[in-house]
Amino acid sequence: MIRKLFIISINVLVLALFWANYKEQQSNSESEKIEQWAKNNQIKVDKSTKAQKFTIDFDEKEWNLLKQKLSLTRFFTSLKDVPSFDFGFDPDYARELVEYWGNKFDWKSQVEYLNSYPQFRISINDTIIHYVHYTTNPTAEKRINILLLDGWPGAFFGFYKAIDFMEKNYKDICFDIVVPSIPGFGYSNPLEKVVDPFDTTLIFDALARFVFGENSQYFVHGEDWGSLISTFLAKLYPERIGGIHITMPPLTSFFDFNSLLYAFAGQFFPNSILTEQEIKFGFKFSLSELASLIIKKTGYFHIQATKPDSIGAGMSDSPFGLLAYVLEKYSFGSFGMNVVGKKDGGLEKFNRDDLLTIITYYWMTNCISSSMRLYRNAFYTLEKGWPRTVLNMKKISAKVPVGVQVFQHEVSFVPFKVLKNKYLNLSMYNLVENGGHFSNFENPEKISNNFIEFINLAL
Amino acid sequence: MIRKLFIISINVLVLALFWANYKEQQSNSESEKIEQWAKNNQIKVDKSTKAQKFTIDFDEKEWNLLKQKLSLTRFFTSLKDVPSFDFGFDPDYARELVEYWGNKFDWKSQVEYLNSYPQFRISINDTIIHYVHYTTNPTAAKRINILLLDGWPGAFFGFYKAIDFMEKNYKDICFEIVVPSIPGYHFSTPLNKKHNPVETSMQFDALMRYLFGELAHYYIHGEDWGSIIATTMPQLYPSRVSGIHITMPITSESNILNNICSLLLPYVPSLFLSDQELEHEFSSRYSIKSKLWKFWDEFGYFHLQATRPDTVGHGLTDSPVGLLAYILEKYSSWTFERLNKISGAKDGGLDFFKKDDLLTVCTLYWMTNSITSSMRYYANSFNAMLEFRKQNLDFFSLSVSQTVPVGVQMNLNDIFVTPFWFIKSRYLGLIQYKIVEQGGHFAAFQNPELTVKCLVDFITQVEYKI
Repeated sequence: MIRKLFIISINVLVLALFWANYKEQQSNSESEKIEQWAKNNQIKVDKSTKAQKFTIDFDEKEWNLLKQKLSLTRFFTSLKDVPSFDFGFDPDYARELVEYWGNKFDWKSQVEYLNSYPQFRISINDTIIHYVHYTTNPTAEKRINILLLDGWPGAFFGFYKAIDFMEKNYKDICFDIVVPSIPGFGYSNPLEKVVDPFDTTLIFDALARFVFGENSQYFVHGEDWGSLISTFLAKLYPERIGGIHITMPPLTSFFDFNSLLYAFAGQFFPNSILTEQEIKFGFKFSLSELASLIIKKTGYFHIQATKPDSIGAGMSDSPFGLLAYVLEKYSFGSFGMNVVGKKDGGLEKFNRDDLLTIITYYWMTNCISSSMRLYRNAFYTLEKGWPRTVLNMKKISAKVPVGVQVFQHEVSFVPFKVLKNKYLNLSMYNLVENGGHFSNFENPEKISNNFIEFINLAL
Repeated sequence: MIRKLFIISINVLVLALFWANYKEQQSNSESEKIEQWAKNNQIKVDKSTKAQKFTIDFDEKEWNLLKQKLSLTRFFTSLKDVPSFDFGFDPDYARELVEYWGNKFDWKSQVEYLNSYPQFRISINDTIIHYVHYTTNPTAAKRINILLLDGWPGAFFGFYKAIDFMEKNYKDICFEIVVPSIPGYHFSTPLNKKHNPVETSMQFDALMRYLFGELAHYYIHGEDWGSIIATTMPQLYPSRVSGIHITMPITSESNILNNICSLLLPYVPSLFLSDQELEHEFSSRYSIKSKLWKFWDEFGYFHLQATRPDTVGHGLTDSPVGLLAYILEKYSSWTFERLNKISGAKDGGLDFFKKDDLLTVCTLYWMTNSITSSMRYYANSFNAMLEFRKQNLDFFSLSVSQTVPVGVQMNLNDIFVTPFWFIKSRYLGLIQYKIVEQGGHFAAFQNPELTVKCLVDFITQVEYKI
């Protein structure tokens, strides 16, 4: 009986390997086709394209409305026999934050802080893009163009501390920095049509060409959706992308036979697929680990990718609802499951004003729904077909160096050995102790140093 | 190569058959274990247990607060290049309903309507249970005790039209009708501890024993969570449950034989499906691919509520439009399932229902501040299911004994459909199976007369052993 099972398994595996191999051969020629398509379909940016300077207003009327709504907040009680944060954002802690928000939080000062770097808005492909454009140490000899890309639920000003750090600690480099907001996020609004990560990639590249020049090279640092968009940029424009530095290799790129075989191996022989450091950090990559991740952590992803408007209604109308939903991500995303049982979900480690600034920014721009729609858009546009449908699975050619910096509590994990198969020039791979998903927010210095080291290696 | 594949497949199938057989033998002894466990854990109902009469108040202060919040509602804009309702509840239609809710909806009259049937509250096992208890045609000779159970996001008054129809059209039967609300729902609050369907089953049984005596028999009609509770109760108390009539049968996901047949279904549909089922495209709707797609499309809410109910609950507790959009989206997609009927429809099909009825559902969740506790039921149930599995009391996969008659009302516009063949593998006493072409998920709410006819036909069959 067992022998027969064994023979069956071997047969199945051999079949799978042949299949994987065949699929891989197909893919190389396709990558060239995609690069050609990208060249032909670049969005034109020319003299007629104009960017407008942009400053954030302190809207007193909206601020008072927000406070009025907060004063009318209706709460409910936590379960007595369930640990804090086990069922989501703890109701008692939420009440505490709401009281602070309505009575002590100084939004006006925060707006001044948000305006400390020059911002602009531009219309590309009929889509409004808001971005920060700042040049550090303009007289320095070495010039490097960089895009800093965030995701959901992040914010462009999450990078401010990193920009400051780069300016002060790398005086011999002039960084030409652009921090765009994804269409539908923050001031990249209003957005009334479907724009998905693929469209965003084309738009961001157009923006880069607008700011840096038509043929100039640029480097990209990406987190969350920014990581995915970075990989898209690398695959579409390998000539112009000097290198990409990402904190969250998109797990969806690795749903292929090859990676799944690794996950299968990881189920029974975990040490065979992980590096020593990965083992030390307690990372796992196996079928059961992936299943557990999908079931336990991706409820929000599932609903946002199918019915964002149903859940958006409440969060556009209730500041409290918005706070609980978004800050839960800052809790679990930064500290993992360790937050269960903690009254504050670990959030007291962060500066309250910093957290509330993010929430108020989402509130003031009324963008929670449009930002969540990005998830649905990513699936909605699949019917547009090639190359959108295949891009995620493609490899990044050796022309584009990839640097990966993974923080210990990052939401998902893909091992080095699996990354190497897709990122053909994986020039840097670092694991960082203590740190989570919102790297720019939590560890601006670490990502800056690592990013710049990566760039120097690539140049 | 093909020969080898063939041999492999046969080997796999034989293995599966042995496994299925072994599992079934296990399951019989597991059923006995469960019955024993149920006997040992029965909730005592005695003279000290007392139910209190209950009337719903029209709380003017709360109603004004609700209107104030409605007047401050902040909306967002719909996407111009996407059919309405493709991304969830359409924001423009939400705006329309909010205006009606705040300016025209008469909650006071609705409260009177809600009070038209006698209600009570009782504490069982430290848990508050609200229920309607009504006796139709008290002088009729034939007496039938019946539990009407609904689920999420339903409400007890969804059965009022059905009760009315039962009274008027079956004058020769005295129905003793009990409509409890699941703990955490509506007036079965406050609930500040975990609570799962097995506990609910035990408490509802205790309620029936309180009302009708220790040896009472009763029928159960169950929709949504009510179907799950209706499936569990006969597993616990097979001698007391006369029969169950359900709209949402649950087939066992771990039954290997079932899964293999599901795989084969699209290729040899006539092996498993009746002519009527074939006509209604059950072969494509019940295929694994179709079920997975449906799960992806429609179960985001389920995934979120089963893992993070509090996170999504905050917005719904504080924002009336949030509550409305989240709940009424279900009344849209689960009643008019075939997406072409909803997609692009300005109202998502909801004009079929009376605005007042839909808003009464929303206002009821709002006034009782019970949306979060109702959603926690999902998380609690999953945790409980895993716990029970560990103890080898796997309620959710075991069959329902042949001695308990089962009637199924298969509503074609519901989220999923399940063919007779597959239901029978778990509900061994399946004696009635009716396909309702115009029916959706909220069976009694949408089609009170049809649902009652199915139900009473079933009861009649059992009572007179036709």
